[in-house]
Amino acid sequence: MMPMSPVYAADIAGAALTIALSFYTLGVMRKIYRTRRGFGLYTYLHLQTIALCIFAVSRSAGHIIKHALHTFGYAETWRMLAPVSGSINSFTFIIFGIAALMYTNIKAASDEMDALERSKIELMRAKESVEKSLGEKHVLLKEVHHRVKNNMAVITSLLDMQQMIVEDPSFKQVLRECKQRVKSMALVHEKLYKARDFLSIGFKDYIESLIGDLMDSYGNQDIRIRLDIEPVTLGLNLLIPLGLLINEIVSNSLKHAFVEVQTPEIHVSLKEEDGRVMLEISDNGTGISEDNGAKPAKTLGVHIIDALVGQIDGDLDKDFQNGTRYRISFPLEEAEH
Amino acid sequence: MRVLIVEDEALLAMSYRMALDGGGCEVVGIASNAADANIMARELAPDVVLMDIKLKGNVDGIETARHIITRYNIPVIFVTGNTDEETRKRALEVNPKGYLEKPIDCEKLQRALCMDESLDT
Repeated sequence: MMPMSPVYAADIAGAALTIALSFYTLGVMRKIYRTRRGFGLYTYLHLQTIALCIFAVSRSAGHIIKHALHTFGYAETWRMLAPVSGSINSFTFIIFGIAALMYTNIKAASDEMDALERSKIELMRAKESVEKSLGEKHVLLKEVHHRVKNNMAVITSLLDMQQMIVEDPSFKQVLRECKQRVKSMALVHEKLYKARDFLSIGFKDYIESLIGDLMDSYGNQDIRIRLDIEPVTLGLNLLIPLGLLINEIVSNSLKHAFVEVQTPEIHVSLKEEDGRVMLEISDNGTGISEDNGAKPAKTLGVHIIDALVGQIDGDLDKDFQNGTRYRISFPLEEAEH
Repeated sequence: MRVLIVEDEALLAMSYRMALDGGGCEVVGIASNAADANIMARELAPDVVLMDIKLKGNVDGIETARHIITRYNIPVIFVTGNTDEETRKRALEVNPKGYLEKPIDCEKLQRALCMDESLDT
């Protein structure tokens, strides 16, 4: 047995220090890796530190074996093992490095896929939430129209009861007119309640129902109604004033226009052109002529017509020769705010 | 004509009663829920039931009408604000005598029931 030279002792101490340092580095790297696991770079560095530790341990082990063999008189054996030992160390380090690199890339791709999958799930959840919220709003809107309609039915019933109690025919007539005005508004909510989007309805369908109601109310079954309505879809802001306008004008015709007229007829037309709508309501009744000294009275109905035309930013043109004719033109977009 | 009114809105029920009384019909009772409607139909045996679809409680007017028609063979006229197509379909399945949508004209109701004019369904 040969005594250990100071160089060998220093070499072994250096090997031990390398092992300690590499394990310390591995410990630090593991802490970083645990907190930043998602990042590919840290995974790679973590695996490389493990490779460094293996390299340091195997290299130091090689040095210790080398000194042990020299000390115990087997120097010849070491000379045979030395080339293989270096190759094993280098080979292990390279293979581990490549494996680490490959693993890191695969891990990064896998993490990316997971992130995409998570985003997809989050998007689907957001979509479901929006659809649910939209559905709730539809139900709510439908319920609002339903309640408005029911409240108007109660108002109508109050007017009905009052109409049944009073005996003065002119007062009865006033109550009937009020009731008909409320019904023209209720009909808008009735149609909106049935509409797909609860926001707009086809005007033709509304006009047909409204005039049908008026005919029922005034009992004028022999009057021909001619409708020439373009398929226009209108919202609540226009429907309520237009319904009330038509109610006033058509009611007026039904009440006053057809004294001794052979083939009474009311014509309602609606056309849209360049963002403006033209509504025309006319009858072939007696009209109002200056020859017979009559002038259009400033009744409540006339005030209502003027006010509602103003509300929809419309222009009104009236003609009372050869029957009555009202032409109202108004912008389509203006009232859709 | 003896009429039973089934309506959870008191003012509407009152206006129907006034119209029918004024037209010469006899209103035998007013119920606001299915249970009362069934009892009144059985005990008062009206000629016709005027039925709202939305009633107080869990049982609606359609189910109540189905019971009254099959059990007591009394015709039912629906008077309702539930005018969506699905409800209308369900209501027509029980073969009602009529289906009127609110708001209804009391004079028209009076003419239909007390003077036997046709009902526009």
